[in-house]
Amino acid sequence: MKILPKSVYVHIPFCKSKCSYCGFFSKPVNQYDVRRVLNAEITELKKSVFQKPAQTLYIGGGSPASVGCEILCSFLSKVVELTGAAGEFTVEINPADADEKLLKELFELGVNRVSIGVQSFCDNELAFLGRGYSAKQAEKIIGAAEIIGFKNIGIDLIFAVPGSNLKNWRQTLKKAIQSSVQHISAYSLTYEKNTPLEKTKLSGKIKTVDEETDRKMFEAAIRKLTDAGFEHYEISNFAKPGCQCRHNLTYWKNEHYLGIGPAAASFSGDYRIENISDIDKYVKYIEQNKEPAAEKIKITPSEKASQTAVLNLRLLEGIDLAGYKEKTGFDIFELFSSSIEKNLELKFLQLKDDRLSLTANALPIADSVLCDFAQSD
Amino acid sequence: MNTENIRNFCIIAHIDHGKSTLADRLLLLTGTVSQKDFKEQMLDTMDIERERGITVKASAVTMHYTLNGVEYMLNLIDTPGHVDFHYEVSRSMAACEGALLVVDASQGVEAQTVANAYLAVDSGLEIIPVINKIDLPAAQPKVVAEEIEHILGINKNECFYISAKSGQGVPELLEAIVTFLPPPAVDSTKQTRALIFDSHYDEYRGVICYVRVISGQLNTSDKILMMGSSRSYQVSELGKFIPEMEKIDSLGAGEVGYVIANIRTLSDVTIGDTITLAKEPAKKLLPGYKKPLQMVFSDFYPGNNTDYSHLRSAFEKLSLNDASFTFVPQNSPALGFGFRCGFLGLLHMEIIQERLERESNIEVVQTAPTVTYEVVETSGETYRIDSPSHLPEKTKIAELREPYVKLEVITPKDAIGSIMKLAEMKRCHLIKTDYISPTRVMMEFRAPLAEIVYDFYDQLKGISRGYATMDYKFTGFEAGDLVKIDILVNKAIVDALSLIVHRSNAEARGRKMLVKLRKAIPRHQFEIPLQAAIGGKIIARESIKAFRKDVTAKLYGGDVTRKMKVLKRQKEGKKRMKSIGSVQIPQQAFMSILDTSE
Repeated sequence: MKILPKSVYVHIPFCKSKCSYCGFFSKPVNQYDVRRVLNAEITELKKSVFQKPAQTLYIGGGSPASVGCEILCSFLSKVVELTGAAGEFTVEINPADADEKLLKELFELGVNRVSIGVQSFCDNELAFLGRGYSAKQAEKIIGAAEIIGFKNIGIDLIFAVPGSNLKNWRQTLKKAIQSSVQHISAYSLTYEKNTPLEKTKLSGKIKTVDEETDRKMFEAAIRKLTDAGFEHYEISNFAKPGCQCRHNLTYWKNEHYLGIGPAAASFSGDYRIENISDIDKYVKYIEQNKEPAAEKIKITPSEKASQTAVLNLRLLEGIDLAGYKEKTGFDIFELFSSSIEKNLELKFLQLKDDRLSLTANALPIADSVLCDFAQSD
Repeated sequence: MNTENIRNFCIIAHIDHGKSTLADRLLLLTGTVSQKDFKEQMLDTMDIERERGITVKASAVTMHYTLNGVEYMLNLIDTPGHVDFHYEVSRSMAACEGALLVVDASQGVEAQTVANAYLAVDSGLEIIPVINKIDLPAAQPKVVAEEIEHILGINKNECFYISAKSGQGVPELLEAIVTFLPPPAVDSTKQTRALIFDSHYDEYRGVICYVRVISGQLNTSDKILMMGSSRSYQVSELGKFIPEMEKIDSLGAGEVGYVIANIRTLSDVTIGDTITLAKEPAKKLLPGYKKPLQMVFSDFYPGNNTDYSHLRSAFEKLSLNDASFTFVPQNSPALGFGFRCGFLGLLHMEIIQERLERESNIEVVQTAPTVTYEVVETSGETYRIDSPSHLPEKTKIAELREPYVKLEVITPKDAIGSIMKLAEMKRCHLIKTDYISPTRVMMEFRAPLAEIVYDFYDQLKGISRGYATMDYKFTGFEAGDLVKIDILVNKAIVDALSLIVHRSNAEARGRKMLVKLRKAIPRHQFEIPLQAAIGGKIIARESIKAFRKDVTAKLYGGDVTRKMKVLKRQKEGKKRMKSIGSVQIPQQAFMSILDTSE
């Protein structure tokens, strides 16, 4: 029996101006007929098969608010009509595009979680990242969300930004803790392929943060946030008890999900599907009643087992051994015997309470361990 | 032809001193080659020789020359110029009665010339000293004549002054070859005996043996016997090179020519062996027969775009026309499949490597050359090993001996100090210093071959700005304070990296190795200690720091497919590397550690 996706992601592929580091699919909002694009997304959602009401609904981008309050809200009300009231309903917020009014309307629409892309509480870092708002403005938006009544506020932070140091980072962490949010994602700056930032790096014009400092920043985040009562539950994610992002847990538990919109990805049945990364073509396909998929890959049972292992291991709770066999059909100790043996010996993996997980030592170099699970031994 | 009218001779010269030009000039003057057919360096048949100015394989050419109404047969036997081919040179000389010693009027006597001249004297050859390139602006013929007299004891008044290029003085030299050099001695042995002084492989005709008939006669219909190897063959063709092959019916005593006898592989023929007739064999071999002795060893591994079977067939092809190098398959846990090759000397090794790359379009990675060692066990058993991994355990070794050579260096005198320093560093003992002219000196050392094969020549060239030349000759094995250095990566010994060195160099060599290793091994998840040890004692250490950060920050639904591909590549990358314990070493990097070029 086919298990229906319980989580829905809706991609709004627009922003006012693209940040130099951003590798997501997003285009300038003023160059498109936004309503037509969003209508196409509604059409795609109507045709899609998923469990209703959805357990989680996540509106990401781009910057959803970049399309304007009115358009966004009317779009979201149509979405909710189709998905039903999701237990967790998140909207991503770029502080540059948001105000109190918007937050209030979202709250009234049933949005119960906002994910605010703060990135930093240091103005010079915000300037480097090209975010277009100050630390003060970001704090204000968080405060507003809290006052409006959001009980689940998440923020994103980026560390190891060129020019930053441990002291700056500790400052940002301190402000994040003081802002009394429930969820913090702390990402080391990634130099994504084909971004302006990557080009600047390759040209040698910026001095990147050295590996040792990067690691110390990561470790500082773990220490400070857990001390402040956050639970470190995924490599880059921290949450107050009960406030883990249920939508994102879908990905790491390798459960099915539905992605709507240009460049959005779905995992449904035995297939991983990625929609076309071209807004005009996406709209055209939908309007011509064609599938907007650019790629549809059948996942074999052993590939699924491998992906499950890699994704589960990003969670600090690791792999539930009994659940793994049930879900994938494989005994992980047979499939990855030498990988597991080697990494247990090197103390990068640990076995505890019928779970296999990364050790604290392994977290900063997780890819070098996870790659051992990228295909069966 | 009456042996009285035969002259067999060779030319001894340093590279670029004009041996080939003189040979060409003689061919022209005697009308053996017409001006029309003439191309430079007629006798050097392989490209590589023509380009490097080195003659690898001897060949022989017969010329006819008339003096005062009498016709003479002149056989010019070409000899390898380098003493790596010492044995081959000595066999070529054994086929001659005389030698032209050619020295460049601007360069003077070089080390290799001296070594070969001594060899000619030892072989009982009559020597005509020839000073070439006298038309060059920098020529100092008188000074060079003094050098020859001083160092070789040949009267300077006997020197011929020529320009092989323009032909000046060559007719007089040609006359001297007849009047000055003796005809072949009459050997009264009744049975046929012919010396094989060289051979080469022809794709269509099989092995071609170059022979000098000492006694008796060889005929086309003869069944012959190789006395050393006890193999017999039916002669299918006899002939001479003039300089193209020309068939004849018989070769008489004193004559030089070739024999084709349906011999399929070159390894069936040993240079120095004696050919006799199967129906009436000679009783004794001609003197001097030896099997080629490999002194220098190096491992060859397939490089980029080359696989093992490719390399093997290339070696097989090469061995068809060079029977003096050996190749034995070897499988190193660290380096995979390759060959351990033995060479007569350093130059020989270089030539093989170059021919491999040129003739078979193969890329090879070559390890630093090592030498043969002689092990004396406590039981008294004595044997030789060509790889440190063949050393028995330490308690069994009563004595370890290494090969020594007589090393001769000729250098401008202002480099003496630096050369002495280098020599000291390389454990060489100065035997004597001899001024061969007011500005140039010949130094003779007793030297361990292992030090000479390990970058000595490059350093010598460096400190003398290219002017010093050297030559060496194996003299024997001598006991030394030799130790085996083991290299440990993450506390595990890597067999393929073990070295035998003199104790005095052990620390420096060990350290150098570790530095190279440190650069070649990528950082791992953990710190990797590198150690060099003698027995259990650590003599040098280094470490490779662990990488500190390697983690994808964001991995959400849309990233899974792409990220899995990246991780898969990362895993495959690990797999392509050689595992030594939990340390992964890229094979190519590993080879760069062993590669001699820096």
